[in-house]
Amino acid sequence: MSFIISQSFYFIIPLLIVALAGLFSEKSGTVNIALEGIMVIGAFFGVLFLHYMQSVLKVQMNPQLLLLLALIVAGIAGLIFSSLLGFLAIKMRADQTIGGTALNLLAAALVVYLSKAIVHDTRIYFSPVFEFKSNFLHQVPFVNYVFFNHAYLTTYIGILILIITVLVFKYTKFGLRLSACGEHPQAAQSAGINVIKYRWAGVLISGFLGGLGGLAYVIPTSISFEGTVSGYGFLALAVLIFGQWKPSRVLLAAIFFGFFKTLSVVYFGIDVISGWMSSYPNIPFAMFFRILPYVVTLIVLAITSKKSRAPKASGIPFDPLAG
Amino acid sequence: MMNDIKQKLTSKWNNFKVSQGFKNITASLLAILLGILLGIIIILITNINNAGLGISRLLLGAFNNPRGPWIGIGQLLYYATPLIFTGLAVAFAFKTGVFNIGASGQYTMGLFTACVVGIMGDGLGFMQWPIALLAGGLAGALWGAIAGIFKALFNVNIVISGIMLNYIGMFIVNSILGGPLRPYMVDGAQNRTIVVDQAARTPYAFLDKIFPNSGLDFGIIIAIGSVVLIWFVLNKTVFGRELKSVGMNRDAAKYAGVNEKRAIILSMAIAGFLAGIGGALFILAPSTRNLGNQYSLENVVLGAGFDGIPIALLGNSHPVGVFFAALFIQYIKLAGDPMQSLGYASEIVNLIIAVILYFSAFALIVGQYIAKLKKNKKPKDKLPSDLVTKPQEVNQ
Repeated sequence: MSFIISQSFYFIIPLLIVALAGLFSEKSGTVNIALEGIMVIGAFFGVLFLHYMQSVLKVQMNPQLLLLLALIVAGIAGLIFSSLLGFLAIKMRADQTIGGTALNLLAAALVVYLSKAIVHDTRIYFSPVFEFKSNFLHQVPFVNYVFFNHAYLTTYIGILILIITVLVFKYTKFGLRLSACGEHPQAAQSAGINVIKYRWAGVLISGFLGGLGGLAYVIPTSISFEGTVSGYGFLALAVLIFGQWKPSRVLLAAIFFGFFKTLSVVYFGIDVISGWMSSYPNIPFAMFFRILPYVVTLIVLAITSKKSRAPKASGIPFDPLAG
Repeated sequence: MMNDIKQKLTSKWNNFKVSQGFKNITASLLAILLGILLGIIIILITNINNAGLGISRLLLGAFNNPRGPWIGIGQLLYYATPLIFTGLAVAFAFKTGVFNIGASGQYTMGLFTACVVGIMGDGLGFMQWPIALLAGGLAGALWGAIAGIFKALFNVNIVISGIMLNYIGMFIVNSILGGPLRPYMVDGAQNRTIVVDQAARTPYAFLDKIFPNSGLDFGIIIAIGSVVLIWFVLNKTVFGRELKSVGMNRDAAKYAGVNEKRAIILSMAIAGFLAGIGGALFILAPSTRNLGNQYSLENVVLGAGFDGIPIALLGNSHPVGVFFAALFIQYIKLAGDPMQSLGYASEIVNLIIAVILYFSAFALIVGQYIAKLKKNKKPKDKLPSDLVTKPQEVNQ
């Protein structure tokens, strides 16, 4: 049980971070279909940084500090990449869905090209030294296992980002203004808010969190990066929709989806299921669990999409000069 | 008499010059130009020593074939055939205002179903090929219709449902091929499907005589026929006009009595059918020297479906435009391998295509902006608001 829950965290946390990344962008009025690509870019540059520090420069450093630096690198890479979305959506007022799709394809091609050019391989490795492995609270086995022994720094950063996001949208002038730009940009402008500036802020924050989330996805679940986050950015968008654009509900949605994603990876390690699998060899359990998170996403969206609470002006270009 | 014709042509040209179609073509060319320019810059940055040769191989694309340009042209048409279909699949849905990012899943389902009929359908005789092709189309149509139903009935964001269906389709296909059908259909050593039966392969229809050793087959004729058929349906039938009216203005279409939900589902089913045919034609193709094609059981969503998006956009969702855009995209793709041997990863081609897609998302706006600048001669002017906003209503 502890194993499944700690595994779940590895999937829930990046899902949460990237869904919140989408939240910042959509709240400000820009649909961010490019989250998948931003994650890929963040993960690539983060892992490349780790690869250089660990294997090329062989820097001796506290692994947690190293991971923190790598997460910042990933975030900055995502932020820079997201400026392409900002240029297209805010400056050029072009179609955000098509532009976002272009960026997803661009990210996928770019990282493989760079990977081949820099390390002459499509895969970049890093040393997985980032697990806490702490004995803190070892008297309470469950808490120790999930939060200290098998935990990663990313878990705590994810929770911190959630708390900050809640506070920003609830209590700060910035957060309220950002929401106004996504709900009713004309009204926001007449109230003296620089809508363009806020929309840029929304997209760039989204890029930073998306890039960071990309690395947070790779670190606990792999020892290398191969240019894909297997649709995770789109799952995060689904989490955002299921969470109805509210940070606290996004957390619940991330836990829900993260659980199914975990199940699709660890199902054969669960006694009950492996029992079923050996008693009914003709039923394709492997396929069932593989497609589970994607099917659940479809079903959940079908149930929740009728009454959408999306920011009203999200996806609609804003022209400061128009009436 | 001659003057008459000349006058007519000039007036036609003058009309065309100011038409939307002309603007769209210039916009597409602008996007292509920017994409290739960026490609050249990347080549220069990556390795300046081979840059001259690299750039020339990139630009020569399909004509770079060491066995002669004729084979290159044949190969271009052969490899472009599935792309014409995925391009049509995205373009057709676009006309109804739906963004079909799920073409890849539809393509995979079509490929798989055609492959099953092509390998297991031994008793079908000479009908094995057409039945396999049709089965592929129908499987794609089913996959497309699912996304359409989720959009029309439950208002599910079609970008997300399309991506989910891409993964679901790929995992189902790989699980079935890797599981129950493995003994009959998979070459275990290579982890690929075996080639389809002789009777299930697309006929060459003498195209192998005209373009020897290129692999070109009857599929390209079906593709050209489909381009004409889709053009006819969209422009000359009530059904097609209804679909387009939903894409142009949903509310007006509703007011005019068009059943919008039915239109979205049907449009996606037809789009899926087209993508499915594309996948079927890929796997049923005899290829060069009748060696046949195989499907690799890797857990990767196939790129052919995604290529449909820049193709549809560059072709401005016009069937004929899609045809030429597919040829162009494949032309660039054929430059990939020759460039790899110079030390430039073949992904540079995908990079260029993605950049072209990025620019074509706003090329139309830039083009109109430049036109307006010329007219006004007021270069400091901001973007005129009546020219921007969306070129077409796109549903998510």
